[in-house]
Amino acid sequence: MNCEKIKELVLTDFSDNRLDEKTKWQVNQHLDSCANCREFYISVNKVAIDPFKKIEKETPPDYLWYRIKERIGDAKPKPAFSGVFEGLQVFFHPKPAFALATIAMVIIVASVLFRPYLRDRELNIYLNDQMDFVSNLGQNGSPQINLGTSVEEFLL
Amino acid sequence: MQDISDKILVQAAAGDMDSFHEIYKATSGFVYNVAHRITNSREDAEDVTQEVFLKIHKNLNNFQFRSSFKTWVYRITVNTAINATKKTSKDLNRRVDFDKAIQSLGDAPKESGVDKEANELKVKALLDKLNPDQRACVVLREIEGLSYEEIAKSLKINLNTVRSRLKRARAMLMNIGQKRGDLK
Repeated sequence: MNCEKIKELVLTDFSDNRLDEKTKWQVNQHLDSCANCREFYISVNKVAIDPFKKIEKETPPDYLWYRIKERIGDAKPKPAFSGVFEGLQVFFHPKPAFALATIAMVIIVASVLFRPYLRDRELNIYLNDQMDFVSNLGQNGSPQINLGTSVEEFLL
Repeated sequence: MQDISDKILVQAAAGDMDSFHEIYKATSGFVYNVAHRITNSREDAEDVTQEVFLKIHKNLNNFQFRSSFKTWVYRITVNTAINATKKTSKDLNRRVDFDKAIQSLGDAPKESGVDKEANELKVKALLDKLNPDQRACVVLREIEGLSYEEIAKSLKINLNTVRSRLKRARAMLMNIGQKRGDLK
């Protein structure tokens, strides 16, 4: 193994004790014989590994649990369908803008729905008028038309 | 991190706060320390710890017992801490402080390893020079003692990426050490 490979292993698997026995032995042999790589190995440990091993672990402050517990309490899941009921509440306590929009919507929907009925009604009135006119035609086929004028009185 | 029984997890998932407190007691040390080292700030570490436990509580119902609870917690913690670090705008100010700290440490007598405070400051300064991904690998490996495999699972990266991040991080720390004169 050359120095470059040794240095790479020193930065990773050798320092982290991940090498098989044979490779580990080879690296150790190289470090014994190569002053430059030995120096590199010592430096890596001194600067990049040992300071982290020496630090003391800390415990989180006691108040943190109470803060978390409080936040969990605030975010407790609501009962099922609560969202639906909350949504419906707007109909029982409407805001003015919402009420106005609802009324407008009702009028539009009603006019659309009843439009065919109103059209039929006008048609029926017209047909009834026509039928009345026909039925008012005089007996024996002569129409009984009252023009309401002196000419009519003269002729009849 | 202490082991947690499946029974505790199931009870906590069902809303039992005492069981959730047991989970907190068993894992909060790990969560807080990792968050502290990745964010490099105690204040941010508290916020991250709080966010991590809120996420755990919210998603405990969806936790798959096929995977390890520890790995799940590692992952949530590291991701939350990295995101907090990327978001925070305080980094620049802190960096200036750490640069001063590095200089003052360079003037101090070398090998004052017994001085915990000096070592603490040194670690902060060193971690601050790494990017959040490298920092996460170094913290999980050096401080928490996780194996490469555990780090890979926690960060959802492959083993070679773990190796390469550690290699680059340590090489960078070596350069900083040389500049500071730590190696003389």
